[in-house]
Amino acid sequence: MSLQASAAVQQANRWDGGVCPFGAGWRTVMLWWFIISDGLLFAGFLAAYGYARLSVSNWPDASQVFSLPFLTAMTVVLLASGATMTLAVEAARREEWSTCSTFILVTGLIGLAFLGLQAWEWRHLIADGARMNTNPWGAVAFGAYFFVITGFHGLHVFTGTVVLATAARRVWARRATAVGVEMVGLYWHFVEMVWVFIFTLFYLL
Amino acid sequence: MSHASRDTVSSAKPWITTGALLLLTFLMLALANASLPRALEIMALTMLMLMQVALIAGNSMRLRHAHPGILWTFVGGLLVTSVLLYVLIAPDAMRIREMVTRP
Repeated sequence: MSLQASAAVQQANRWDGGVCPFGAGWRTVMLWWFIISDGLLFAGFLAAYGYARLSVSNWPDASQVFSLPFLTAMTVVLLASGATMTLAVEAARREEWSTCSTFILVTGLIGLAFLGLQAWEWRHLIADGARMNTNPWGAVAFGAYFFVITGFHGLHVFTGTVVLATAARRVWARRATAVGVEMVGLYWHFVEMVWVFIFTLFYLL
Repeated sequence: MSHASRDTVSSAKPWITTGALLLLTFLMLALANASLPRALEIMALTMLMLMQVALIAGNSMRLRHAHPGILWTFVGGLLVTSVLLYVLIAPDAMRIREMVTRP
């Protein structure tokens, strides 16, 4: 077989996957892969936390360390931001860009409120003596797990608010697409979902 | 097909989802404050947490409309790996605890 014919056979056998092998554009699929790998990172953190929690007998009682009404407020705030983000995505689908931009901004502001509440919580715990390597309530590892897990989640919320601000500006300038807004929404809902895990496993159990 | 070209959801749906999430959150708080046996408390809170996660992933992230490839990678990747990880390490953690607390 000639070299040209061989190349032609190879070309014919090559799977091109179509334009949408996962029923979504490549950017959306890449974002899903990011979400899954980032989720695995959080799963690792929470599994390590579970290990530490089970292996020591003097793990602090969450109800004595944290204020549950305050944490509930944080949760309500983040869940509300999920609703406004969904409304932004819907508005983008209907190509109502002003409404979309407004809802994205509202979501970002709610995200900032969540960060403010988290900063308040950290300040309070630091004032009570909580550090990465020590705390007044029990197991030494408690402070490290608390600051790393909630800090990593807070970093995601902060990144989300920056992305939301950028998206709002792009939507306002009519330079955004519905798929782009939907991707921002996917990321934000992922951040919301991770909080549900942290809230239950770290604060309630 | 991208999510953007799917059916348009009514504006009431996000609030219904959020309402359900809030309801589950308050139910979890009530359970955490009730004097339940520890095993029952863990099981109930885990179930409610997974219901919340399913609501967010299914409705808000529209995972139930996503391609099965994405759906199963997400569910398999996150849920199954997490459960496996936990099931594998939990006995060892409890063994260490026993060794430390043994007089």
